[in-house]
Amino acid sequence: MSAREFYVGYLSMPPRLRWTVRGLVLLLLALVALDAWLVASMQPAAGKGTWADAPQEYAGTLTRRPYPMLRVKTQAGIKTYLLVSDEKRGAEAALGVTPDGPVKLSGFPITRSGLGMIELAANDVAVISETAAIEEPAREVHGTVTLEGEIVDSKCWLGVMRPGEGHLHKACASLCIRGGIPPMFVTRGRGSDVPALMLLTQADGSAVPPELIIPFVADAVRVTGTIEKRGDLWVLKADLSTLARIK
Amino acid sequence: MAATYTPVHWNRHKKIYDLGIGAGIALYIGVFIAVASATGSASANTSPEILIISALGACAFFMLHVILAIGPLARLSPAFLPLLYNRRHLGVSFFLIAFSHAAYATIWYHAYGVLNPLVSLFVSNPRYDAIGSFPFESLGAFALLIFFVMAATSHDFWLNNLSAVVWKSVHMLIYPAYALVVLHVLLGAASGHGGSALYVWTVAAGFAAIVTLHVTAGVVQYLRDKSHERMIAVGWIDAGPAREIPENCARVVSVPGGEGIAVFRYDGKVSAVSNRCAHQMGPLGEGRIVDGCITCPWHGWQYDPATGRSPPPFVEKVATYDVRMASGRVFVNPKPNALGTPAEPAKIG
Repeated sequence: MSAREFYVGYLSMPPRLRWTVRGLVLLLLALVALDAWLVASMQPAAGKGTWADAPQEYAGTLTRRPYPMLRVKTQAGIKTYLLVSDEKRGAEAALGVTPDGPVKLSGFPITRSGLGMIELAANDVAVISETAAIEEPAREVHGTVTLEGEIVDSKCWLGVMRPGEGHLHKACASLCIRGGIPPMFVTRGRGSDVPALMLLTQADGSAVPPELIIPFVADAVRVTGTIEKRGDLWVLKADLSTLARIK
Repeated sequence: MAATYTPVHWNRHKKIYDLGIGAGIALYIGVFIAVASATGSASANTSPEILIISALGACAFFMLHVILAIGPLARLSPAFLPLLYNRRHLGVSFFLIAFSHAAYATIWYHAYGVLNPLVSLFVSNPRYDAIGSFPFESLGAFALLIFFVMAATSHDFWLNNLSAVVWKSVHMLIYPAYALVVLHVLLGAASGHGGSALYVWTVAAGFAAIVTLHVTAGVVQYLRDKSHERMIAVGWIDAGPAREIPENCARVVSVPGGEGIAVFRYDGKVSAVSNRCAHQMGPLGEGRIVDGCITCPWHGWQYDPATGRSPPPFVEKVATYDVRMASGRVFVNPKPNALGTPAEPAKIG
């Protein structure tokens, strides 16, 4: 822009200023692309969870304690699926008075790290009277340990929200657990003999009351509990009085 | 400038400016989504909704920095004035992007649960006593409220009805809002999932750039004002030799405790008016005489140099000052005349 040129928005732009402005705009657009690239490349890992678009039919044995689950016979053996409703709600309301035992249901599979979950497609869980129930697997106790990790809501972590952990997801995880989604414990810096992902219960094996853990959800925590393997499902029976943040 | 209110007084420059805003937003979001979802990247499996929320938030944060940088850049170099001219549209566009980010994030993270989403926004994370786990969403919500007030009043209707001083004060809230947004990003995106030192440094670099630009523009302005302060004993201000003022331009002189005075030279005479445009308090002294009128460098508002009045049908007025010539030097009475009062121009020997 020369000293004699003067810009007025509603008049023609002076010729030298026009070239200067074009250069500035190109520089700004380059900054736009650079910042977008930089910030995008720093996005957190999303995990490998999946959430299917189409519902599938399942037949298996319903267990409602400590959290609603379905055991299904597959070629690879007995597979355990956690059950949840749509939105941020556990399956209890949808199951109504359906008793433990053989059922048919349809739902959207959610899968991560070998663990499966079914989001019920509708409130049409049907009892099957002619089929024998799949027996509850034997419980293998793997000792009492103190672990560091994070309490997550299983539905988001397994694949509905990717990523579904950490500080950014804290409010959502709290809301999900408040709504009855089963909590899970994801271990950090674990030894090879400790599973990465465990269903979280109270020390007596019962469901965790949400208000006991909501302030700790998504934080880095330490807790002591007993690890138990039930078929293909790992469970951490936690002494919640030992639950504490580690940073 | 305009004599009547319409939603937008379109002209060619504004249309090109708005196309540029649209292209910039599309470029940002396009690059962001392409990079974050690139095959093989750790974030490749990110939920589409979260990807869009992140892209909108990052885009809005970048736009806020551009908006905050344009003002001081235009004070440092007139080459940036074309970017300042339609900054209002950039501001409203920024608000729409920030609002989309907030609305989408509120729905995705806080709706479909057992609490009202707007209640969940403030209570689902109860850790207001912690820094690392602070509910950063609330900081963004308060900032958005300020941006809404600013966007809603981004029109000359509000500027005139609130008065330039009140309007400017309201729009100065962009600085506390910016501080809230910086904390929102630092405690949110930059610290999520274990945190990224590079992310924190990127935010810090943006903050440092904005602070540096504002401080530099302030220092330059102070030095300009200082160099023009020439007081004489009788109470009039010595504005220096008239011939040193370029034709159709002004020299700005300062009155201690008062506002700046723009002394214009044109057609063999000089006149003095307030340095503050009646529109948005733009620096009239950095403007020019165009078609016989003082023309503001910010938005082109015009005033007759001898009366301080906008040419009919416009009705804006600025204060005039009495001037006289002595030994080739311009002297200005620091006491302002009432807005729009004619003041006899002083002829240059």
